[in-house]
Amino acid sequence: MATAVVHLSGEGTIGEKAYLRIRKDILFGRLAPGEKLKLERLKDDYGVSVSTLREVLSRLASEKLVVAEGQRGFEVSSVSADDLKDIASLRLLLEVHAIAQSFQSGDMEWEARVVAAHHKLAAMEDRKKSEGSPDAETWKRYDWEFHQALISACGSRELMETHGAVFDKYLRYQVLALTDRGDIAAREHKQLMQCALKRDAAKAGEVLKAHITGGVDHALAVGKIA
Amino acid sequence: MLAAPDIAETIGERTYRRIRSDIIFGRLQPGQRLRLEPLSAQYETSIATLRELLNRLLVEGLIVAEGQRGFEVAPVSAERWHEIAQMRELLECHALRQSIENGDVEWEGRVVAAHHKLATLEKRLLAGARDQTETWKRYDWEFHHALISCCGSKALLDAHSAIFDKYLRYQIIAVVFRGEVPAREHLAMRDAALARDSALASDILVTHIRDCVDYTLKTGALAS
Repeated sequence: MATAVVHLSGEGTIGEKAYLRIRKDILFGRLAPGEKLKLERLKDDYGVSVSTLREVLSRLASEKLVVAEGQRGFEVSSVSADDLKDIASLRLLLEVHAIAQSFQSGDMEWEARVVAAHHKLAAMEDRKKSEGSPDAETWKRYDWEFHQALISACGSRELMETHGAVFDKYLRYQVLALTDRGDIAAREHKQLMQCALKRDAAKAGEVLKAHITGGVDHALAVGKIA
Repeated sequence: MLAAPDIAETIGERTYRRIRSDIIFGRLQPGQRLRLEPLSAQYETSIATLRELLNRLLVEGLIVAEGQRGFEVAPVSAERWHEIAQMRELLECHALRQSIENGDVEWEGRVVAAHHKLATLEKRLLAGARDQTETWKRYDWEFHHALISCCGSKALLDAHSAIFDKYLRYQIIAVVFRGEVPAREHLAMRDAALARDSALASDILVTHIRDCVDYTLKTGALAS
């Protein structure tokens, strides 16, 4: 089942490792939207057999990160403004619901996870301000870890997994637009953490809505997504 | 999804649909080991094609990987059943409200048509017919899908389809036909949708789902 890839380690079989690498390369734009995925070339790049590759690509097609081109092959899923808005609304729906459940059930361990994840993300956001563009993967991993920590006490694997899959699609757009709202996003993250500790799910929902809507507007304003 | 198959689909696609439907309708049982050799003989397909489609089912959460050794049909539990039902409730209520807001007369036509088919079959089931589970469940899906079909979000419809099929697998395990009550709820949902009363429609939907879960758990087909 799909879980946010930035969170997964590279353990497992050769097929599993190739799957995670290719998936990550799609999310971080090293395999660009619409790019043809030629089996012969990928086989060399990732050091796996054509049959393993076909299994990996079937799996990614199922996640809609690649599309099958009839009998002939695969390409990376294209992007569009409408698709981004769609994905953003679904993320908001799932995450607001999960936050409400999580804020209700979260214990002290959960609070500690939220505080720790926020600390790491905030440190990265500070460094970004002083040193300029950071390592996108680490930054986005901390962002994911923070949002995931917020909902981690929601009590439903089903919800966490679906959220993880949608989050990754959202992430691909963020990376693509190289979107960085700097202080605004950092402030919203801080507010979310404070809401968590106060168990104010209603306020957190409002902040998250502004956070995601702002992220979408910013990504679209960059003009790389038609 | 249980939608009618595409005529132009490939052999791999057709086999994928067959295996998927066999999992949902319990012909491949929860926890059953999926050995490649016998499966490839049974579904008349190559091991390579089989591995590709099993990887798709893996992403959908209908099967699980057993370390290096292979795959098995995803096990079931009462806990997971609650999670799936809550997820369906979240997605379908949201989509229903959007769809009722956006729906045009074409949409009303789809809702009425889908309800007509479902209601006809429900009458037959009430009269004692027991051999039409798959058709009944397809009509049930078509009706719920028609109701939300104007929600305006492809991502939401996809997520809903996926969860609906997981939900269906649990229903099938308990072979639930709850008689007149859900049939009345379907009718009431249709009328609420046509009256554009989204609050009422989603209230009925919540009851519809929760009662089904409770009923299924009472049959004892799922371990707690």
